[in-house]
Amino acid sequence: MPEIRNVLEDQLRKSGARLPARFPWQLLIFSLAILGVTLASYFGMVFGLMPYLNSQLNGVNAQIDNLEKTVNKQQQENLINLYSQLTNIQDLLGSHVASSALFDDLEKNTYSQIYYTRLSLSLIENKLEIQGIAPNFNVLSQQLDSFKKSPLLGNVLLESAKSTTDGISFLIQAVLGPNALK
Amino acid sequence: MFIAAIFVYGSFISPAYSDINNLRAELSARSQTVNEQQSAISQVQNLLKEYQNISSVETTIGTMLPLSEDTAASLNQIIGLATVNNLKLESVSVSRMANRPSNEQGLVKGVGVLRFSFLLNGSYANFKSFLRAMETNVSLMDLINLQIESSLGSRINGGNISFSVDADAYYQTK
Repeated sequence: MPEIRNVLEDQLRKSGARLPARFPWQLLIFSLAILGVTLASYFGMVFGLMPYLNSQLNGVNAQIDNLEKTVNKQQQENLINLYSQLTNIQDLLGSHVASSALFDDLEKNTYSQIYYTRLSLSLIENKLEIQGIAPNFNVLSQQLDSFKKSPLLGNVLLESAKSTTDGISFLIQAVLGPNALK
Repeated sequence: MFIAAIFVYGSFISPAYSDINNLRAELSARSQTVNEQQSAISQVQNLLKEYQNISSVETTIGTMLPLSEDTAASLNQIIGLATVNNLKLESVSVSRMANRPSNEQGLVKGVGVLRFSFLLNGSYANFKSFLRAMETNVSLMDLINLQIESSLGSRINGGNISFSVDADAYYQTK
């Protein structure tokens, strides 16, 4: 090994050459280029793209303001009221009571010998109470049977019945179906 | 310089890019809003045109469900129906019931309820006719309670009968 080293030193001495200490220009240029691109991107974003996007956004906001002015407050209020009224009317008609159907049904299902003296109807409780006079218990029994066949009445109950000078005075209670009169 | 470039990227470019993304998202959302509003407004304007053309509808809807409490109008309806059907109106009282909130959320307002309790006198046939007219009347009214009582011993089907009625009339709340 020392022999090889000596040979190399001799060669260098003979040629009189020196190894130069060179500045790393290429690395410097590369770093500078990267910094330049980075700075250019930043300034492009801050002074180019951002103002452009902001102006676009302002334009869209102005469009929204103009659109809101297209239909004035009064027209908006009228339309909301109309829509609300129509929706509420639809709901109310859905639960609207047609109580006259009950009277048609009672007329159809009442024996001619029977007459009523008092009727009480509660559509909150869906309850019907009928007070009346029957000529005898047989007719009253037939009347109860007739009520039981009615499509509108359920749970027909003879609350009381007693003999009076006019005939048999009775009180009948019945429950109306939940949608019987709708 | 390489380190300076990394510093510029981390400290300036990255936050600026994030701001730009936020702006883009906002712009996109607002543009969508504009498109939706334009479509909605064109529909609303068409509706308004139709609505102005048929102004009688407004009157009918206003009669069916007034925009405010209108005791006089409902009372007039009851008086008119009783008169037309030859029934004698003996007494009337009105009470304000709890408002019914709307089933639907949003634009639909609630419904106010006025309960009319009144006493009528007349024949059964006339009352039935009154009841039918009340059911089919333009102004919405619902029977709530009814008591029919004949005068001493007489049959409900004939003679003078008294009818005690509770009926609800409606209006739209503000």
